[in-house]
Amino acid sequence: MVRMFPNIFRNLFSKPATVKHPFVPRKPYPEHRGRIVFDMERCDLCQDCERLCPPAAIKVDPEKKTIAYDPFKCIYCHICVENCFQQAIKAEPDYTPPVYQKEIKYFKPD
Amino acid sequence: MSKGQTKRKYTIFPFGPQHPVLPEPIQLRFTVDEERIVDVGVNIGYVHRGIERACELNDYRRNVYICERICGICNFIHALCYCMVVEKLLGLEVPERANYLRVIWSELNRLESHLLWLGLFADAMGFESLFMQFWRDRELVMDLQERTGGNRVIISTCVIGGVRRDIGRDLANLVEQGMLKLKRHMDALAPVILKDPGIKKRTVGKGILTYEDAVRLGAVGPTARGSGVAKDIRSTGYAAYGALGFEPVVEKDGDCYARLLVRFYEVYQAIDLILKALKEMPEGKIRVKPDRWPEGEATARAEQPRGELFYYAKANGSNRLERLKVRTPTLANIPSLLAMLPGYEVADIPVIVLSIDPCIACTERITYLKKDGGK
Amino acid sequence: MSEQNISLTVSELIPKIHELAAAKARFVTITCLDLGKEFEVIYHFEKDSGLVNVKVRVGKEGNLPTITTIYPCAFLAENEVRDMFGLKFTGLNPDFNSRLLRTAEDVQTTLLKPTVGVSPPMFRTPGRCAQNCPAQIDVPKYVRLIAEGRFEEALETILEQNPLAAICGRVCFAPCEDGCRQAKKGEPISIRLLKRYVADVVGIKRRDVKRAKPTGKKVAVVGAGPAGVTAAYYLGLLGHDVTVFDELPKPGGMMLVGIPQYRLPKDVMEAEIRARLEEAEADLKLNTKIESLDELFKQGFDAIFVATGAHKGASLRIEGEDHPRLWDCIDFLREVNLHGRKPDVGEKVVVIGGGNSAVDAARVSLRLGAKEVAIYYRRTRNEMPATPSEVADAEEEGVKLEFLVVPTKVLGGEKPVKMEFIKMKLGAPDASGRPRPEPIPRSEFTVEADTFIKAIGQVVTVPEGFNLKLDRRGQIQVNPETLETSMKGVFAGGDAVTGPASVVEAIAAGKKAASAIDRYLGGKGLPEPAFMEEFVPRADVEEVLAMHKVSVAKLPHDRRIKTFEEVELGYSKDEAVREAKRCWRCDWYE
Repeated sequence: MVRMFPNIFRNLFSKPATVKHPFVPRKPYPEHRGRIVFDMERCDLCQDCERLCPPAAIKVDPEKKTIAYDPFKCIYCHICVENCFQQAIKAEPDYTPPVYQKEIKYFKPD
Repeated sequence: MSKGQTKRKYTIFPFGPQHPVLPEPIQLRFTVDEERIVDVGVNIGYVHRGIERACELNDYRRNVYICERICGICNFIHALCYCMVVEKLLGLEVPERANYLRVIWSELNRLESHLLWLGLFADAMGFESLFMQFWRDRELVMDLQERTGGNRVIISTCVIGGVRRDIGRDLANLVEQGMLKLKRHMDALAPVILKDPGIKKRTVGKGILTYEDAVRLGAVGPTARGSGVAKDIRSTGYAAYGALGFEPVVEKDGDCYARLLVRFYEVYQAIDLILKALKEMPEGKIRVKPDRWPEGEATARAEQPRGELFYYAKANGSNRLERLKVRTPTLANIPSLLAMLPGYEVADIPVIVLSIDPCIACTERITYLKKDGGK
Repeated sequence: MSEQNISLTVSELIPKIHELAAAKARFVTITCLDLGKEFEVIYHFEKDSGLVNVKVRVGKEGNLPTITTIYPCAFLAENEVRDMFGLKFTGLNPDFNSRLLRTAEDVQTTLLKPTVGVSPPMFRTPGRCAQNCPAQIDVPKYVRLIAEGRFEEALETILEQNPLAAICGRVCFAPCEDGCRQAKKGEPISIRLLKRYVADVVGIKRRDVKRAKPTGKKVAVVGAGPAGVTAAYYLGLLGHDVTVFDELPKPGGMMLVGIPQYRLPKDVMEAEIRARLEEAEADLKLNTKIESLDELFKQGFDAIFVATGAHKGASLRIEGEDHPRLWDCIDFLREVNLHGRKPDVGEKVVVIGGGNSAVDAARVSLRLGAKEVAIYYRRTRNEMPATPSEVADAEEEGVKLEFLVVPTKVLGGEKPVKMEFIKMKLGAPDASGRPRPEPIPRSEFTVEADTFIKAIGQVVTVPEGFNLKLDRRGQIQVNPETLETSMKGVFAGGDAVTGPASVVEAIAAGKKAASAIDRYLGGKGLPEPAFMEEFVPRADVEEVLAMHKVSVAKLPHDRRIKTFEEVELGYSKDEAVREAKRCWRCDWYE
């Protein structure tokens, strides 16, 4: 019983192990595989990402020069990021924000 | 239950598919005499996903990511086992450093899974604070997975021919410090596991699986090792386990407490293996690329936190597999579970069911089964 | 981990399982494979930490004895097999009546259907190079065959889609190289030179090609240029009886007239065309000018392909254009290339225009003894339609380039001739995407030269007697899908339809026409090019990028401007293989 006291006091004044999630955003690590953004300035529409993507979340249309990317199919494996020859696929170091509706993102050159 | 109707009146009640103690849907049908369990039936197939079929329809390199999703908690080991079976078909020799990295991630997965189970088990016994302690420590492992692999849960680092990410010196130091910290935390919790009378009352002597039954019913993993069967696929020396040296943890009693101890000691074992692998990891390449398409048939086995994982693959030289068969450990442990339960009281059900660490989503990648009545 | 495979018949199964049980083997699982007519059931056991696989084959209607009597834990696995594949087990005890998840009608689809969407894996896409090639040659494949030293197979791959390999290897403007994905980070692979190497090393000769059964239909091809020869070749291979007419004494059309000897030796060109026509068993009638298509129909031809090309120089539309020292580029090149004459160009030559023929005219003038040659172009270097390597070669030989200048009138004079030019500036982009040049007011200046050569493109002249519907530029109007003209049974392609274009585009048109004519004559046309190949792993990109382009040997500078010898000497075997090895196979994924 006596041995419990230091523990009780320590726990009373120590910070909680948890984070108040929606109010305090979790800081991602630099190694984290984050949100994917296509840089259409650099993209040469080679379709490598489309061919590599395991869940087929990327569709490249070389004629219209657009990339359709479905963040809800994406499994964030970052194969596309690692294999992009032009380094046109960038990973933003943050967690994908929640949205209300599922929608496909289109990337076009300006 | 014809025999029941003649002599006494038995009650049959379903346990699951949705039950607070079960993280995933499985239905057990208990035939009870007052509070005593007489008979158990099992009913699985609620979360069939057709993954084996999906693997036959996709490119064999993409399958790594499908197999990884058979089970979230031991995702790396699923991917590793799939990669091992395909590497056998391809005749690929994995670089030595990749083997060590694979061991590190496998053991991180095992830590994650065992700490999760220890927490859940404490929760099933009503030991809330222990549950929170274990889950807080689990966050350490999750953070290390995120830092080394890139994601908290599905780390997606295993690829055919090696691994995708390297653990550099800085990260290695980080993992080492994390492991030492985890070890200190475990040392603090060890007296609770080993001495607490509450835990002992709920687990000692409950759900006994004898050595003979464990062998006869093909139990695997900690379930078998808790009954004194010294079976661990890691001792066959896949990946770098052969080089690291490996001795399975065995307890002889065969009850829930023995299985708890096996898992608790395996946490220490995993920490030691990671520290040893980090120290002995050679320099070099981490990945080789396949130079042809898979052909022939092969099997591969790996040790999951729950036991032996078995993959069989057949390929015909195209970029798809002809057949992929996955046998997850929970499927092999269900017969043992059915053998454990009769003779104990209804209040023991959560503890005994959880003691095999059922992972139903794993099991039902393709199986479905309906069984009424006795085993 | 040791593994042991045992194949048994159904009756031998139970004794073997008993044997395994006695040896304390642990049951692992059962795998069932659907082999079409029968099932292969594999029982996996673990014995002494090694695997034992017991394989049994059983017909689709057959029964398997259960092993639950020996291994009770096998009931889950046996049920799985029974419910997934519909394989029956005799004496399966305990007996389970499976109802869950099963629809009565279709057991297998319910169970085997993946619930996740399945994306068909893409095996291989034609690489950027093959996509860019108008003739749709399987470029990555032949580059690999060259890297492996299999030159004859490589040439076969090219000739499948492009019968004029040696010619294209010399004069093609190589859109494939623009598409090469290494171009963005390093240097593109010299695909054209590789093609030239295989064509040269295998040699131009008549091959043994399989010709289809003769159909008895007769096809006339008017014009023995690249489009006509290609169409004749494929139509001949499809079994038609082809006759090629040309008014010139040698085959080749614009390739003969417009491309100088130092780029395309005439003997190579003639040999290759003749070899291809012989393979296709097509007749070549030279020195025959066709005046009327009706006459050809009267001679018994079932279809006609018109590929007459664009042989008349375009007009500058300026005052005094008919000055005797303002030559037309095509007439000038025809004099030199076809008739072998050496016109007196004088000391100073100014070529007006920025296309390949302008560069050719400038380089030919140098070889004819001009001391000072300049090209005047109305836009800048970036907009020049000429191949950059050609321009670089010309500059190396001493040709000067003047940009943003346009002639306004010929002032007259005889040796030197005076001509007024005006300076330009680049304005907004026009329909072709290039900036439109606009004159700067009051910036006129006078240029003196012995000879002016205008090389501002060619126009199509179709003989009056053809009676074909033309568009406002004088080009033959065709259905873009079938290349059919306004007259039934008459097809047209090449420069005569598109205006001046390249050799490889003419070849593509010839192929398209051959397909269309074959369909018109009741055939199936040429098959679509199939990009199939055995699996080739991708090379390590980093390694490939570290390798440098193998430069091609060229004729020494002092000899170049004096003779008409070929300037590019081509690769040696070593160089070709080294260059081909730089391809990292972007057409395959990973």
